[in-house]
Amino acid sequence: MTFKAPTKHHATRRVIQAIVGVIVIGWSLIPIYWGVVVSFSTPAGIHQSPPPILPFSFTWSNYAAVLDPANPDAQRFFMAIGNSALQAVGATALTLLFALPAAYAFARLRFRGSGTILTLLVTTMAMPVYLVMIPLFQFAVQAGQINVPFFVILILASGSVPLAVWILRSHIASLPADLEAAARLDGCSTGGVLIRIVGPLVAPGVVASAVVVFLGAWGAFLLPGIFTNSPNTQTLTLLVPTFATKFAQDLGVQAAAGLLGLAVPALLVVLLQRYLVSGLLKGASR
Amino acid sequence: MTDSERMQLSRREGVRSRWSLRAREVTSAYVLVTPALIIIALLIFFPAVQSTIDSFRQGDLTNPTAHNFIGLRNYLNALLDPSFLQAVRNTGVYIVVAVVVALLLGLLMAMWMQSLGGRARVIALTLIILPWAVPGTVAGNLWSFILNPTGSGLLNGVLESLGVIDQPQIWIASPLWGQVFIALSFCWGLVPLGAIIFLAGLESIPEDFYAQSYVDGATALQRFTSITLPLLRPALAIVLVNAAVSAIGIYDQVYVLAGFDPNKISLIGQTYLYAFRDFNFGLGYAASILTTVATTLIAAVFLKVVYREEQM
Repeated sequence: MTFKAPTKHHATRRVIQAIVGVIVIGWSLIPIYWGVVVSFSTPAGIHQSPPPILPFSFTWSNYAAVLDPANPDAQRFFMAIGNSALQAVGATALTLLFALPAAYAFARLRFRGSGTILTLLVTTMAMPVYLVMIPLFQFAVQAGQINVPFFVILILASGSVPLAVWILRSHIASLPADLEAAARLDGCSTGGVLIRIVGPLVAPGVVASAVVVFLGAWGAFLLPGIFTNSPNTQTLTLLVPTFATKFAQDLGVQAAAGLLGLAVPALLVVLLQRYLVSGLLKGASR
Repeated sequence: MTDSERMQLSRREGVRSRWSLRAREVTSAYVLVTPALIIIALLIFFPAVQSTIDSFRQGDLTNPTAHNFIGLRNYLNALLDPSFLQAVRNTGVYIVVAVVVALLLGLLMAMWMQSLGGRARVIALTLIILPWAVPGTVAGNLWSFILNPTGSGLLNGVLESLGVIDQPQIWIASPLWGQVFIALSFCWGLVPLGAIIFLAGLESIPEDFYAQSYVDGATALQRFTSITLPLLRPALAIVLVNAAVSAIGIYDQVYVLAGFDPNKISLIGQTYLYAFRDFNFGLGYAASILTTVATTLIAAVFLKVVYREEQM
């Protein structure tokens, strides 16, 4: 008799756990799942009511529309994927190039004004992109920097440097300094210390900040929309809304383009999830 | 040279070499920090200062030679513009929905993940953070398929088969529901970060605290309100501020789902129209600075509320 109550309690707990699980996973995956269903449906099938749970009359034609090189829309799509990749990789590389040395200095070296400079850097995190977009646009027009991908990359990188410095600094600071001193005693140069000792240990932090910058730059919409207006520099985020207008009745093509556009960042997050979570939390906790 | 002199000399030598080591450290520190400072100064600080100064100037492209100081005129024009005030109200709705959903759903996700063990938790975490990776425009696009008024609209289909509605609704056209669903499509990508932060917060609460309350005979609800919530306060503060500050900057999902519909437009959307459709840069500056000030104020107020409660 005495064991019955706990068992019942345990069973209730399992039921609640299952219900919450359905809600939480449903919320996270249904928009993607529904996009997949629409992307494999024919235009006629999409407009039937009520919607079935599996694709309406299965077809590959929506993916062919954005992937078949003979199709002009597919050419624009490939160009957009290339532009997005260039923008995201460029912004990530540039951010790390600027942020890593600074983060090391803030974490390890003592110098006059380091506290003030760090505070200044953190303050810029509170300066959103919409505060600087108009003067930068005016500059870009005067200096002929419209439709120059590198200028957009530079703006995206400048916006990510403060956060990257913050995350990387806390990672480097959490490493035992003795390790570097020991390596120096063993005859390792400063560069050697950075590459052989600090590098591998700080890798989770680098991966975490790189992924955050990459996701931001891959998904950026407002900035490339302001600083570019030619089909040659169009990124995926700019192309997807134009598809929504052009294929207003052809939701399958929109869905196929959107899903292919989220495949790259989604794959990155799934593969690097472990580094991402631990790296972000370490940055947030200090 | 006596021994003491030699010792003094070598000590001075030591001081000098230590000093030069220190000087080298300081020099290399500045060398390492300078590139980051230059890019931030050029692309964030100077433009921000220029925004502030030019917000007090006439900056209308239809009258390009006029560039004189006009005091607070731009700010007044923005604050008296009905479409700006509508954008403020719309953004307010987005903020409220974002904060509520990020807190409730983020906490629910974190508690659910904590109740899972080992491998199941890793899989759950991977699925839950997936929406975070989706670009805002694509998220808006995916949600438009759910809200679609024709047959493929999942929401209409489900509600119809449940008998809640008898004919398909154009959800995005409704002033209230349109805003709520835009906010939800935004929350979809926002909640995962909150869930991660909450999960870390929950993990940091020692098991002993709960064990003691079991002995004392506390109910699950009592345990939640007297142990979990108070100890989760730092995480709550981060998630709250992050949700509000992100929601003030909402743009992509609004644009994809509703274009520049005055009943849906956000503050950033209105700023965009001022600057890049009307080419009234002065008004754009004023709007962007008002938005920035609002961001700072909301963050400060939320942090203050959280800290004051902590003292009580």
